[in-house]
Amino acid sequence: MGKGNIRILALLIFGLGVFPHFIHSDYYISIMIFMGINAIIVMGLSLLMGYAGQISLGHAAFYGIGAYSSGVLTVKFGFSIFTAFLFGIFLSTVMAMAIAIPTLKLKGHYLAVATFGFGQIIYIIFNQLLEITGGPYGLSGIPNLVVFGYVFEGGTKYFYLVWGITILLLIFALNVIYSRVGRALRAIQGSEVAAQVMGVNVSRFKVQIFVLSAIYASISGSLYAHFVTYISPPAFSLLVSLLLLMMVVIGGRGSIWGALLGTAILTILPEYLRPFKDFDTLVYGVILMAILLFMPEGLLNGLNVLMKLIKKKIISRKMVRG
Amino acid sequence: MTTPILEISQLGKAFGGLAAITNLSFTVMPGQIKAIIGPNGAGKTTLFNIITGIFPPTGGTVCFKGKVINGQKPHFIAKEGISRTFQIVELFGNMTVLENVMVGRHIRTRIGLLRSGLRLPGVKKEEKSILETAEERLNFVGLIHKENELVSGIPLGERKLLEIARALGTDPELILLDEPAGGLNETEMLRMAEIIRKIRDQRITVLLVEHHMSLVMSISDDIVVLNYGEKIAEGTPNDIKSNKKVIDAYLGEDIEYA
Repeated sequence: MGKGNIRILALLIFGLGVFPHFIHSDYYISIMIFMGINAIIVMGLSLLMGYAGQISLGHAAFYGIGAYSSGVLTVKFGFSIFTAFLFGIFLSTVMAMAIAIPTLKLKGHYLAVATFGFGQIIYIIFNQLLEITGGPYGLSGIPNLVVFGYVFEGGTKYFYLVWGITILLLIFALNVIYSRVGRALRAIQGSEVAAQVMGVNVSRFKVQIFVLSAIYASISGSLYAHFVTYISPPAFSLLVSLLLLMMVVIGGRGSIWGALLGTAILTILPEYLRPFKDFDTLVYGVILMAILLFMPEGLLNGLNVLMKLIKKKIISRKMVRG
Repeated sequence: MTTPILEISQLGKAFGGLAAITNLSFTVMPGQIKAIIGPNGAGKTTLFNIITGIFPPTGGTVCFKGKVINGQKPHFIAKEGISRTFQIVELFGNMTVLENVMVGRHIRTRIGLLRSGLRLPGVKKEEKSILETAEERLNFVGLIHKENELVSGIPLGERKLLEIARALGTDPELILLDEPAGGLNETEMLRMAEIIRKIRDQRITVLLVEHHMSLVMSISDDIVVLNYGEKIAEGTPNDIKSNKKVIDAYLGEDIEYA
């Protein structure tokens, strides 16, 4: 997967590994857990946007399907946590295929429109199926996660679990990017007609990536449900879908690292904007606009350009002195 | 007599009311270099697009190795053994020279999303074979020294060669070259002619569209002349040079313009 990637990955794993040893505040740990949960969906979306060239406006729905599958099946039907988790993945896969197979055969942004509608439908279902989902009142009493008899309660344990899974899914995504499939996907981005002539089954790969991104969202939803133990529809609304997209765009689409950077920033930013009280949304909006205005390719690319500029400055100064 | 590798019969293509190709029939024999010539708008690129499945014909058939292939998807036709280059270079600009050719191996390899994501056994081996074949193809067209450069960093002449290397990556039995010498200078054109002959020597059949008559006449075994989507002549380079209809189509009839 490339030496550069392995180095960053090792650094990331090390940083996450030692994080709880230095930061003991439950508050920071829980922010980091939410960051990990978000990162999983955003990685899937990044693959979809950056490599399949498609936009989803309804990924919160898959996130919700994961969360409600885990919640409803364990609370109301007595399923085991693992079965409920798998059911969420299964349901998301089926739904994703049902949306993607007809729409991805067409050129253009039909997937965006279809996922938008899908997101709204699922949101209404969460609200209206009172007996099953609890409707607007939500669903509470979701059990803590237990894996092989080990209970994941409390911040630090869950932190390691979520980030462990996030890292594994990150490795999976990187493996896909640096493979025959990843090359085919990048080829579609480079020239769709040439990719077809080289034998790439364009629509099939787009469908596969969309399904993969839905599975990532579902996994993330299940992890969310078992962490917060209470879920309600607003956590899976259109706004959430848009926020997830923002994370990809702010970080830089076309790079999974950019997606992670975007997730980190947009998860932490609202917390730092608390001092602004009622104006926090306004400041948040201005910051997002500024980033997109000055770094339309995303923060990761922006940082790269900045680093190069600084290097140039240093070199030219040395030349002057020398 | 051997059977033709490609057989075009009574092919027609209309875009709305505009007929791009009318009742076109010809055959390509295995191991040949066959050229299609004709003025701009004669339907040459349209023909290539039909053969490679980018769009279906409105009538007639395309037979490859005795099998009707028109109406099939491009990836199916690629797998059958037809590959091509493009008149206006269609490389993957977001990838390196080597990666472009590696995409050419796509159809001859098979590891999918799940196996590559999990890095299951076999992934590494297949990746190595893709890399080796791609390097071999780059070597064939003489671009191996540029393998790690981005496509945007190499000149047009080399891009044309890269498209050929990528097409050869699919192990084609028939390669369609759409104006391989378009935009090339004299030296580059000689190099191109040599490579086209080398391809034929690998027992790959070549069908090419080209405007440079010197190139066409020097390398082709057989020539088809199109004008306004219709075949007006077919034969060896010598036949074509002396054909009255061809001269008229290219130079215009003297009387009308006099």
